[in-house]
Amino acid sequence: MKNVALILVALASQVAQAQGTAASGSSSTALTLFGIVIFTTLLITWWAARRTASTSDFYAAGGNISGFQNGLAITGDALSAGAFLGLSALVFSSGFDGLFYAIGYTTGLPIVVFLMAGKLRKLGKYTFTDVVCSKLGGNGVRIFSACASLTIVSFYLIAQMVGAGQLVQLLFGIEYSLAILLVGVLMILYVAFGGMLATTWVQIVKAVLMLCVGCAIAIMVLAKFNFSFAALLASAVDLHPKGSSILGTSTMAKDPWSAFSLGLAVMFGTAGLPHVLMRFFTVPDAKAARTSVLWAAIFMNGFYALIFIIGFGALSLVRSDGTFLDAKGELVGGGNTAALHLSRIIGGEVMYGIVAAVAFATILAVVAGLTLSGASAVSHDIYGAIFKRRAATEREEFRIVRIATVVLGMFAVALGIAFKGQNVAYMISLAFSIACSSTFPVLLLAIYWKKLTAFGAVLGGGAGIVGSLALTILGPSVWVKVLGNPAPVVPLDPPALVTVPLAFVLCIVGSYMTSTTRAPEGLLSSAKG
Amino acid sequence: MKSPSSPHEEERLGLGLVLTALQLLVYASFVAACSFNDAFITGLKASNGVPYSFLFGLVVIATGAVLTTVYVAVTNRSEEPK
Repeated sequence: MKNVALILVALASQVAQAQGTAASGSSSTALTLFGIVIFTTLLITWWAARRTASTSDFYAAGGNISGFQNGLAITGDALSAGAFLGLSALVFSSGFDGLFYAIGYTTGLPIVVFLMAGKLRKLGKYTFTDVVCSKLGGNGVRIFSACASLTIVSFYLIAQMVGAGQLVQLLFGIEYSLAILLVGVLMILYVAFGGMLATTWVQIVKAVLMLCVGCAIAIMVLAKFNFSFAALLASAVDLHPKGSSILGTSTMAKDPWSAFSLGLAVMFGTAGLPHVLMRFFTVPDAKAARTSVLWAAIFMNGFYALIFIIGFGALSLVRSDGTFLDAKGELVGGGNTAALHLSRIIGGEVMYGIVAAVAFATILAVVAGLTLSGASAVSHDIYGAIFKRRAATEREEFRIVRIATVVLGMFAVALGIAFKGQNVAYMISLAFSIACSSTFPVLLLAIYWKKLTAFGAVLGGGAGIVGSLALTILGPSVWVKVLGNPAPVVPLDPPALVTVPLAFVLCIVGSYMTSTTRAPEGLLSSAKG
Repeated sequence: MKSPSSPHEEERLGLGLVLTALQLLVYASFVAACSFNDAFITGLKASNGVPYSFLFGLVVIATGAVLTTVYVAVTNRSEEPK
């Protein structure tokens, strides 16, 4: 811990130096709250580290998180900075298009509880791979599930790290690489020392802050329009260059196949995200697992409904104020700053500081959850269960997960720096596409279809991953926007409409081609305590 | 591991499938309306001044919360010790 403290002191001094020379719009309130967020989350980690003594504590907080607490933590895990800043920015620029995403994201968690939450808690131990392997035998399916987890987590993590670097640089005037390093060091500390308990409480704190801030902004925006949402929309239409078309759905009408494909990806992708699924192992039983989804659905759906007001509030008030628009009418500081500028307009420096600090806490909470999920796939699913042939001691697995956390954290920092300035928006979409085309079909069939075999699962899930990757590269998000080609080879974006049926069909075909192999009883755990 | 076989578990699977179908139907209807319905595409407003696309979107958001509440209430109650 002394070495860690030294690293943090050195990093803090560099951050302080960077502040002195920063030309960004950071305020003293924002910087003070930024410091409070770091101090509070490290305090939580210190508290959690004293209570994390076993692999059960590390992976699943000992299964002692209540349904309500886990509901808040799922909310914290799922509401990324992109959900808050990104969607309000999309509404600011395009109107209803941003709301289409927000509405889609609310449809995922209900599917999780209807089909999976209770079953996951009953069948699994620490990761969703446990659930798949409780029904299917062999290391092949375990390796596949762990690799699918790592693939999804990696794409999600890179997108979050690049976004984090840009956002922290903008909010607090810290140089990009230093910002990435700061986020990387903090997430490694949370996960390596505090495990799931620290990660959970960081997510809970962040979720509460985000919900409170969202409600406050929405009320303050509506107050400017005599609490009339219709008046807010009328003002937005008057100020946007596209006029009343921002209220329409012409983007979806131009490409209905992509609209349905996006709908499929966000609806079923949530049920395949490893860092969300892992949360169901932190509660005592299936009943608490379901209760946690109920609270998460209420909080998340409520927050996404607030995006209606926050997004159009930003569109109207930031455009009418004009202070934060450049000569071209673009947002000063980049596309994702609409909600930040809105907070400054309606609540001054104090509100801006609070929103900036909440955005930073959001980044930390999401990357911590992702890192824990990825590290668990390495230590529990791959090392513990395969390389040690399920004979790894608890102490050894504990050591490996900490090493995996540090390596994954360094990997995320390196990739975050490598992707600096590049368009990585497609990576979240890709993560959702892979999740709904690989982990979701495999998990669903493993739970409910007795004839699924390990070969079928690997064939279908593998095709889902490869198909998602290939079609995304050939699609508009990468082929046109990243590689600069004039037209996409595959116009469907995201490719879920093709890859989800493909994965299900190949899972079924592969299963009929091979005989059923069931796992012997008692192979859920890799660790022999 | 045993497959779900008790009457309660079969009943919950049935309820889960019905609610999944309902959620899918409501959301697919919303996406279809956004893609093909002229009132949605042009942003036509209802009498309260809010476009139909916004109102249907709020219905989708509310549906998710309501269906989740129904499922959790029914399933958790059936698991309570008698």
